[in-house]
Amino acid sequence: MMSLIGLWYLQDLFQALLSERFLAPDLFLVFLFYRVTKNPREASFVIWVALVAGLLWDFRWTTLPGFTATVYALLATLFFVTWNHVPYSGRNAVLFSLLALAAQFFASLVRFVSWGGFRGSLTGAVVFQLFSAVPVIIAAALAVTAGMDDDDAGP
Amino acid sequence: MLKGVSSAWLHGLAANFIGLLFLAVSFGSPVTYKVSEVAAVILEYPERPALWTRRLVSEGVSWAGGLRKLQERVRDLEFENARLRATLQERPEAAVPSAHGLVHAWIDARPPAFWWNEVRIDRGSNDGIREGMPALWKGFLAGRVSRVFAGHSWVDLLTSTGLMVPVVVEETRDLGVLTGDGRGGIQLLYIPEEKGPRPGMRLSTAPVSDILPAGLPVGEVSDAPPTIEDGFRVYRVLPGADFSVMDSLLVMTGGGRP
Repeated sequence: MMSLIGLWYLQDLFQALLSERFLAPDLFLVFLFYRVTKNPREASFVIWVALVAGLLWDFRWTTLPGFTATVYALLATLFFVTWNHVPYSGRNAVLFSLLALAAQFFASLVRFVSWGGFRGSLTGAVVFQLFSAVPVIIAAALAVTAGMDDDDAGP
Repeated sequence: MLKGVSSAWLHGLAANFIGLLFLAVSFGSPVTYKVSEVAAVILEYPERPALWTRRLVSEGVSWAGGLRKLQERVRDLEFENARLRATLQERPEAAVPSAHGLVHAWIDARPPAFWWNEVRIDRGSNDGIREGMPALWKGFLAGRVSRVFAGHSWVDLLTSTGLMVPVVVEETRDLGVLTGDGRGGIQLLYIPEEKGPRPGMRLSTAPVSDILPAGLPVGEVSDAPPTIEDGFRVYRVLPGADFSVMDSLLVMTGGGRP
């Protein structure tokens, strides 16, 4: 739980740092994806956490309660279902990265709508958010792979 | 596995339903406003490291690039311009006091439900901002500070239906009142039918105003034909501030009269 709160706070700090110019990358969402790959039994918990975290985000930044919450819950659900429909042998860092990047792209687009187009161009905001999310996604993908290697090497 | 996936679908559907329900119920609700306000006030403290870092970086970059001096110069000139306009009206008592200050503030929230009514800026009473102070965008009046907190404030925009600003047509000295229509438009009210400001004539805040300093440029009379309401002409106004693109404001901390 502390790690979830910490990640949400970190994302909030990033948004406060970038506040009026750019959108912060969805670190929290990527972390939820990572959590759900580590322990699929947590899926339902993660979906509700996504909803609550999104709701908090809305109250702080978008003033549209339910907007980010719905997007986060939807993406967490879709990620989990897609990940689990792929055979175990296909679940690797590349798949994780692609899914997380696609989710980030979708989240960027919808968050941009709530954030307001008056701040600048759509392309600039989305590209910045995607690029800033890439290192986080790669780190999470490597962590997922490391976890799977441990599972394979297990008893 | 399949059981887990089905269960995730169900939880996902339920969570999305609740999220959408929140969205539908809370849109434009005053409760949302209050909760957002509480969230902003509470998170203001843990977010301070980020805000300090941002200001530090921002000021460092400006200093390094020599922009800081230029920005101060521009602000000084904007203020000087406003002060001279007031002085030109031969109303020394209405002139903007020389002990001035302009605080630059970024707009950090703009509620979609109140898009044309108000914006939230990232400066508050800690930065010297008080209720009633005028907010400028590129030298033009954009709104007025309505609520102030320690680290942030809300600004009523000219396009808001709740803000009425006495103005003067500079060329004819006709007095009127500006108010927004809540949809991005601004109207000039109470111009007698026999008077006729022409399109392009400039508007600035009136000396009769007890809420704003006189002489702040506001915009100009639009070329749209006026309508008549109760014996008075209602003109459309082209504001100097572009409410669609503005992302920051200058708050006049020295010239406002709360």
